[in-house]
Amino acid sequence: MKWIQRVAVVGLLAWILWQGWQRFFVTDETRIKRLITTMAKAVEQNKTLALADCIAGDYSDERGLDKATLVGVVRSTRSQYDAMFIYISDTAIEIAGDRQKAQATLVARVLTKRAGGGSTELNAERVRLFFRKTDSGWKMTRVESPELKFE
Amino acid sequence: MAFVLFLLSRFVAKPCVIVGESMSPTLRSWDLCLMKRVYQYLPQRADVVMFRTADDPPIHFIKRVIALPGEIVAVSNGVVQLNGAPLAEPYSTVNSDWRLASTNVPPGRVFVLGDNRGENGTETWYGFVATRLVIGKLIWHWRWKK
Repeated sequence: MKWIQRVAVVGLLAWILWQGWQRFFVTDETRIKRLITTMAKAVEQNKTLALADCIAGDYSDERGLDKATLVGVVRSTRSQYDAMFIYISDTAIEIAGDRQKAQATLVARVLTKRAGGGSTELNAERVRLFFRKTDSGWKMTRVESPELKFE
Repeated sequence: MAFVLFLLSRFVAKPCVIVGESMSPTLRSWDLCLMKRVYQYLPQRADVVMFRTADDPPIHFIKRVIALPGEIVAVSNGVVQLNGAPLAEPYSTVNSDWRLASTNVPPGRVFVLGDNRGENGTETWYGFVATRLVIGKLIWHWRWKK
């Protein structure tokens, strides 16, 4: 029985250390980068529940989508493709002074293969994501796609 | 050796892989390209060029130069018209759904199009691009799968 207690104590200590590390040493920038990665993976793998978990309940964007509609649009779009790969690069994150809001600008390259052995397509887009800190961590509240500049 | 290759790719000729079909049939997905680096692009019609957007961070595209500064470009029933005369485009097909009202190409810019006119999708982008944003010109390409 003693070894079970030891394992439990070591496990508990490891968990406390991990939580402490996360709380005091992981920056908001890192958390937001992780959230962006989680969202990209959720879309790639068509895990809409995981995606919905990253989005704030009061999400709204310039196309008039709310959270439920956005998730529905992602699900229907994703179902048109056999495979999807999202490569995120050039991420720049700005945290507001009160550390309760943030925005990230990034380039998302989406490589898709159409269902039924269709063609491979690539779309590159600059997007600006807005976040708010909630009781359950950072959540995305808005997405904007700034126009590309060719001059 | 690696350093020399780095310098060559940075300043002389940049290798890249095509993803997407907007330049098909000239360039297809996964074609390997070599783009000659240009620093002051002198526009020439039918050049296949690589350009970046003026955003930070930029996005890169590869398209074909169709109209030069000062020319009037239009697309009527899929046929590109330059200064009122149809442009012969052996590298592309005609898609009668394509239309563009007569537009003057401003100084310092070129009008570019993808060769793939078969689809009306967003992938075949067209528009005006500042010549200062052109960073490369296609000099060689190789197709993995014939």
